[in-house]
Amino acid sequence: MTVQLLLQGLVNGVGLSMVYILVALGLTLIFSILRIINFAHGEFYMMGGFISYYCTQYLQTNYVLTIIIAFGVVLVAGILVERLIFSRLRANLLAGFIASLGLLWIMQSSAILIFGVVDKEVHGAFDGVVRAFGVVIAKERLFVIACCAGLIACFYLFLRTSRHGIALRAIAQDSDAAALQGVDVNRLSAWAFGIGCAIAAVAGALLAPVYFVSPSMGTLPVIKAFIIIILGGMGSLLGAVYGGFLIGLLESIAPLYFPAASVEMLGFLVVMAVLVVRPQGLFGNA
Amino acid sequence: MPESRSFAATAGFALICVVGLLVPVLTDDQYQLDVAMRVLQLLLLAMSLHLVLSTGRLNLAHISFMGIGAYVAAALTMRFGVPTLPAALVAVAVAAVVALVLGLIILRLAGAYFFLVTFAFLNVVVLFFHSFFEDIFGGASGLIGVPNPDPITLFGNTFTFESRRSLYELTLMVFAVAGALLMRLRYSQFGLMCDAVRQSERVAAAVGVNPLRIKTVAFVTASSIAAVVGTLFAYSQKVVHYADFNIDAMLRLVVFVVVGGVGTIWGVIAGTVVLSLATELLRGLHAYEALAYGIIIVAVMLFLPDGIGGLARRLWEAR
Amino acid sequence: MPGGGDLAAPGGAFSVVAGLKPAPTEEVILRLDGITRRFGGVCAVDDLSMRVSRRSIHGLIGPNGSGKTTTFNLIAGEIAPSSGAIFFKGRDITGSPPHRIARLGIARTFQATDLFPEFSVAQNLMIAAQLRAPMGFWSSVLRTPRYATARGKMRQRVDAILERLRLIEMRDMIVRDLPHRQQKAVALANALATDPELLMLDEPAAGLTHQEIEDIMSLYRSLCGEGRTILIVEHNMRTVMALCDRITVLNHGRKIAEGMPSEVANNELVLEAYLGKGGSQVRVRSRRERGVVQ
Repeated sequence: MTVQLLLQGLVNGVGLSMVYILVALGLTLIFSILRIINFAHGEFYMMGGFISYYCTQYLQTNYVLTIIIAFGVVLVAGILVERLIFSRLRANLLAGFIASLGLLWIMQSSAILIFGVVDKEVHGAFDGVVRAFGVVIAKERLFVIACCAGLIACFYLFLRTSRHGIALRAIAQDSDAAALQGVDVNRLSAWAFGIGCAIAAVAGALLAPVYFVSPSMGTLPVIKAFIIIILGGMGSLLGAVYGGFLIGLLESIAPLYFPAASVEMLGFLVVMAVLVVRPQGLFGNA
Repeated sequence: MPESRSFAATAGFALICVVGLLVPVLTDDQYQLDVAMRVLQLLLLAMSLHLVLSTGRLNLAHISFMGIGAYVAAALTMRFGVPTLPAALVAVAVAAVVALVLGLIILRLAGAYFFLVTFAFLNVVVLFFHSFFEDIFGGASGLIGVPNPDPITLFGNTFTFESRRSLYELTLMVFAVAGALLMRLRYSQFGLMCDAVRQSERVAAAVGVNPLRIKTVAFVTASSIAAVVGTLFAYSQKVVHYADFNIDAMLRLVVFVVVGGVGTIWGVIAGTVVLSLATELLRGLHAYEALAYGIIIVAVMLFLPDGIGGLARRLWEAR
Repeated sequence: MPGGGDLAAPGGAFSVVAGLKPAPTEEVILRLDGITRRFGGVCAVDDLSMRVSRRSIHGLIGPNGSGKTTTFNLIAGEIAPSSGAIFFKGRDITGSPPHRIARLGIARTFQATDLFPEFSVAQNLMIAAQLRAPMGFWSSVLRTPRYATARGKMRQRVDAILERLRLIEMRDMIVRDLPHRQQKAVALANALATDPELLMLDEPAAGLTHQEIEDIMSLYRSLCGEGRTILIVEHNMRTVMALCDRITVLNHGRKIAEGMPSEVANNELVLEAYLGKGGSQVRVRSRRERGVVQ
């Protein structure tokens, strides 16, 4: 295998990683604040993709604008879902999980009924490719990478420096203590859920021009996201970032050397091993 | 377990067996016999899943053991010419061994982590049968054309299994025996210990009960019964394909069980019967079916977290 | 005799006159050798050595956070010591899991939840009682006549214990619906149902009235009369002084005093631990000095 191919693989890997990281960040944020395993997370990703499709196709909106619209719409949708459904199921982990399953079916079948099962194309804002060091990158992908990096950085800053961000981290550590400190746990939990879903939606909107948009597009990313946060440590945001890079790179490079099926299976076996040996993940604390 | 509840459950189970006996009398329609067979298989799957749930663990890979049973039995019969009964026994034995090894490793994990590990294992099993040993397991197409079970000779009578009806009767018999076993366990000292372990492993250990042992025994038993269902499935459906044992199929089963109410075995029975029949009615309207399912599940979780069984129990206690 | 004793046997428990109890033997039933347990940087138990004599009531006292409950957890096998060893009846039980320690004859109560909340009182005891008549998967499946008789015997034992602790009327009530005080009684019944040789009680007198405390003290004495040993963590000084043959005092995980109640009560270090510096100026007069007993 030439260095060229390896580099190309790396570059593709980075792009893929970024998107997975966004989805995983949303998932781990939701888990760390609300302690629910949200199976429907992939559907919000899908929602972002469809919002982008609908706006560009029927409302002739500028593509880049649709990304912002996707964020806003799904933010509201997420808050509503949390208020109506998950806030009542905080105590019961199993019930919350089952409800998220129901939500998944509702959202996916609604998408099928509204848009049909056929894959949809979304035209991005950037055409053409960039060549550097013998490696080819579509401009679209560069845009994806840039947006993801920017969003991840903003998110990190938000959690570190802003008042609400710090409050969120407090809730993640100990919600009772945070409540005693005057943090409105209920309100912030709703916002956390909304933001988590909105981030996933942005990922969906960003990838819409790169791949196709379809009602089932959320299934694979959410499984990948689960693998990432299990490896990185559930509830650990930095772990999600590291895990995302790990998975994205492995996925791009390993198939060059090994058959795809083995790579997938190895991924799940590694997940099992991590859960048994080090359940807090490679980067999380117990 | 209070006597009144065990009576209700046993009565319910007996009722299903009686109805099951009447089905081939009332209809000759192949399709309806198939539906009845599927419902009985699902019931056995749900009841065995309940055994694991009663120890406080949700095994998301329960259906994978059904898959192992189906694939091993079918492969032994079709690729190696092994007769039915030995093939089925080996299939169940393989599933039991896998369950034992897996269980001893993962049952010590806390509930949420156990749940995720079994989710990963389910995917491992699906990938295994999809991509490995393709000449044995059929790869992406699976195993097609599983032959009928060999004739059995008992007490001078020979039973053949060439008709749907005879396959149905076989399913009913297996259901009756395995189901009775599960009912018996539920309302015994062992069942009491399972419930104790679920409520508090710490207290159970403090009074001398080994929680890991109880959980492992329940896990291996339940997985073995799932494998038995798998062999029935293989011989009756004639096709063994990994898509029948993936996360969608498992989650459907979880829904049956949760809507029925995980607390009681008869809740699980009721939920499975009601929803599996509803599935048959909605078959073909895929998107609407999924939408209806989703709405039902969310509604039940919000308003009836104990499921139908829990509601019935509360009504019974309040009377 | 412990282990084979039947609480229900006539003349067993109630043959001992309340208020008097036989003297403890010389035989050591529980021995801790240099037990240390660290949690990260904190040393919860520090080089603790202690011996408990058979048929004695041994108190374990100390201010909050002195390591008493951690010591219980170490003995009961819930956590393993960082160093040191624990011997029960001469046998090394260090690092054994809790269920095995229960089978060897040590029962304990907890400060907080120590019951199966969804079960009735009787069902709770049926789980504990099965320790002495083990039956599991195969007997439940096959339902041999032995299974039925064994269960019948278990029910009898359970009812006898419930009678003794005056819980028989609520045998079928769901435990989480019971008031706290009765839950504690059920917890004790559970521990007794395992027919233990060593009973470890974690603050059993908390929240009880004066009369109730007198009642359980006579119960404990009669348990010792049957040959059992009691290790008790307790804050109520009166109970501890009146009940215990021997007391070990902990502070910050270390043993600071040990001996008979009168010795410990006037120990300077103990008074300092509880009352702070200057507390050693206070001198506790024993019951004899106060003229309560001869």
